[in-house]
Amino acid sequence: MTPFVRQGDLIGASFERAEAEILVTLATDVHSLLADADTLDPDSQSSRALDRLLPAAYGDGAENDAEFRRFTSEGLVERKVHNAELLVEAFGERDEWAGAVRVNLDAAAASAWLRSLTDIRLTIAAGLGIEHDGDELLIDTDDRFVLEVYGWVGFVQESLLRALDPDFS
Amino acid sequence: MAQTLDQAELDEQLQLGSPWITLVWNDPVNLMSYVSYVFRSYFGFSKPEAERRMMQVHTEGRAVVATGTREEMERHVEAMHEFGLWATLQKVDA
Repeated sequence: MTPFVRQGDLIGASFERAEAEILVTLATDVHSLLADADTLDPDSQSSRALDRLLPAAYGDGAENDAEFRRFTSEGLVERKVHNAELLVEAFGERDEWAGAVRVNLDAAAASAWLRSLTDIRLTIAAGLGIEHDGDELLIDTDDRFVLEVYGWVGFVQESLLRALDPDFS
Repeated sequence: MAQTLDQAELDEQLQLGSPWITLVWNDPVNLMSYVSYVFRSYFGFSKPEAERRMMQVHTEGRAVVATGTREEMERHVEAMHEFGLWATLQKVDA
């Protein structure tokens, strides 16, 4: 991947095919997780991931939390799904992928990417059991590849933020 | 709360009858730069203010990012959840 660079109104980067494949797969996974939100087994890993995507608003573990989720989850799920779709769409048609896949993001797409990359990282973190600062240092060697992907998605996000930064300073 | 500035802000808001706060909590996933970006782009904080509150989240485990009515705080919390930040609202005990 080449880091994101601003060119006029757009912020662009090039990904290798395998990298594009990884991001598309991860965004699609988050999309599926959210689509299945209503039917998850509460003890499953997917359910723990969903709790990271839709955390408790009051933290009382009771009526206020349940009510907040009842009123907000539909809209939140819809917007998170849309963000994941925008991330996937930015890569264009897979048939047309060459050696490198170019993405050019306008402001709305960049904003959707930042949120979707966060959702992807929250989902991976739930799977790896990263709950406190430093937990990633204790990851089992079997999960090392997933941990590397998690770190790389953070790198993509950091690169996008760096390219955006002048807008917010 | 260790930050005297925030206590002063809270006191002022309480006198204005806005006894609810939105808190953002530390989590191991979100990048510091992203948290700062969210504070700037959503709440409109200046860069130094966003960085100060982001560092407060990081070092103290949480920061107050808004005060107001319960309905307003619910809107902020929902927005933070869309960004993927861990936010809650609560009533301030007067």
